[in-house]
Amino acid sequence: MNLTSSHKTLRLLTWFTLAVTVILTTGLGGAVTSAEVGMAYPTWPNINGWSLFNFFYQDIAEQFGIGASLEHTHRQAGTLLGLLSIALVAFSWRRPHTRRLALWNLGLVIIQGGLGAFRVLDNAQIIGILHALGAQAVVVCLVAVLKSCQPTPSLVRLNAAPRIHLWSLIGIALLFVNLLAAASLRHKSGAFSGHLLLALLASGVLLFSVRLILLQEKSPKVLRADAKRLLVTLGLQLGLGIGTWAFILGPLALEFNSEQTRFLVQNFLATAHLVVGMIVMAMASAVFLESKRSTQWTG
Amino acid sequence: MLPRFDRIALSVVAVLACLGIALSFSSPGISADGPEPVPFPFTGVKKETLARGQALWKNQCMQCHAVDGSAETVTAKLLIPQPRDFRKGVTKYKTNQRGHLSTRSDLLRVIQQGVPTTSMGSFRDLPAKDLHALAAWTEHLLLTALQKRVDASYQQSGVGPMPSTEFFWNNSQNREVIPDTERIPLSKESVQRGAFLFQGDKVSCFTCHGKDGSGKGPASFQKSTGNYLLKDSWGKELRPHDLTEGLFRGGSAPEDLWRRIHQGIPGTPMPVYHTQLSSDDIWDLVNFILSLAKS
Repeated sequence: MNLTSSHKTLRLLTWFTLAVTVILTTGLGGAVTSAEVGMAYPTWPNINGWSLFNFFYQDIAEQFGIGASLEHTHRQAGTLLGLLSIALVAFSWRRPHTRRLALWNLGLVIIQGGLGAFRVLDNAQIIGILHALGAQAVVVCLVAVLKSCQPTPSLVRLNAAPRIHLWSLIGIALLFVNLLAAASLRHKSGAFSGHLLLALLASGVLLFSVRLILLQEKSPKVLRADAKRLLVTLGLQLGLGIGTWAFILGPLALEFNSEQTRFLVQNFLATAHLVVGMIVMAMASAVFLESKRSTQWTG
Repeated sequence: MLPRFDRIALSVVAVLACLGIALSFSSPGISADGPEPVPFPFTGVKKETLARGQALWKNQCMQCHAVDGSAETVTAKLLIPQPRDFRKGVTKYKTNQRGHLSTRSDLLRVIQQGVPTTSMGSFRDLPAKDLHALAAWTEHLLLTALQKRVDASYQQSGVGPMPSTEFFWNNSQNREVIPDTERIPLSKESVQRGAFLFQGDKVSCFTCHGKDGSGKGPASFQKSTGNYLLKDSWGKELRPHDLTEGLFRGGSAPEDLWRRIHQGIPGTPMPVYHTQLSSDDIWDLVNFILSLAKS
């Protein structure tokens, strides 16, 4: 295998791992929390003797209920993420910078597995909140791996470079804090007002970073593209946030014909809000990392 | 050096972020809103304990058992077996005589230990004070449901009231069932005697549990359709326990198993056997059941 093809494979593998993290592992994890079936089976990793590698979901659902089946698939998705993270380390072995990031990612995924286990075995909601935070850290790490696989850009001298670096970094930090508030809200130990304020604040800061990038005529193309993607996902996330509030806490929460419809709509919105939130985190990290890679202060 | 605008904006963001964090976590997290918890005076539970138990219930138990203990939640429908509906006043795993209310200490034990092989996890990591408050609130739900039935019965008949809730509660105390004889040591002979009882016609355990103890006996499971045939007092499908798992929902200690056989399991077709079996017979059955465990 020549270097170029191994490079392409590494990028593809990182994209795939990122997709698995966001869509499968987090999507299923979010659905588990939305349906409140995280404790559907209080043993780990096996469900009452059923192996983690059992793919007969119908049988599990019939024996232990759909809730256990959902939790089981989330654990399997986490296992797949672990295997992919090991593969990432192996494929990045000859690229020291990427390897270091891939090792960080693997470490975080292992910690995530441990947090998931202790959340179940200790029946501790606080660990569930940390588990949700850890998932975001994994995404940030994977975006860093992805950026390190991209060709090194030529540095563009921008007057606003330090401001872009600073505000996009603050945006990421605020997203983390907001996620802590959101996870606490979902685990019934936080208040909505805090989540709302932090969400608006993080959005404001990220929009300011996007504005800074887009107003610079000399901004690199890749950075501009990342900023535009962040703008779109941020808009989507704010829309979903309003929808989630309206149907769970707001005026539409009592407008359902049946309990089943209420359950499906509320859980779909809450899970979609969580998944898109993770994409926002990925995009914000991409903007920050790309700005660090491709821009430099003129001074 | 950052521009003046950025320095001011940074200060504003820092203040707002602190405010956001404070707002998020200033709430006590769990609140005891809803009807005011008024303790039944005869239970000796303080109002504050009950309020704490109610708040904890809303935070820890409500998603499965519902706010009123009815277990009418969508989450409950996603689980097998479904969480307990406390409105009938019946609980399965207790140490006192069948037909009596569960005691608070039995409820506490279930909350602490969980119910193995089901979705009911252990809450042993909660502080002891909270565990007692949760047990008190669970008992309160059982008593509230009982009070409703007592009131309804009185209204229907219009004559001589049923014994009061207090009578039922008092009558359930100090009725712990303790093995009459010392445990017969686990031996080949005892296991054989237990197997004879389990698989024989005297008590016919196999009709529900199956000759191999897998929980698929001729009276409980239809092989041709794969359907379970029994129902519990809540009208839900009942699957006799797979005894080969080696884990038992009401506790896996030999004394727990002895009590299960002696008193049966309330709310299920598992009857009392102390009328048909001696204490030693039950110990033989316990030894046989323990020998069935795969590991």
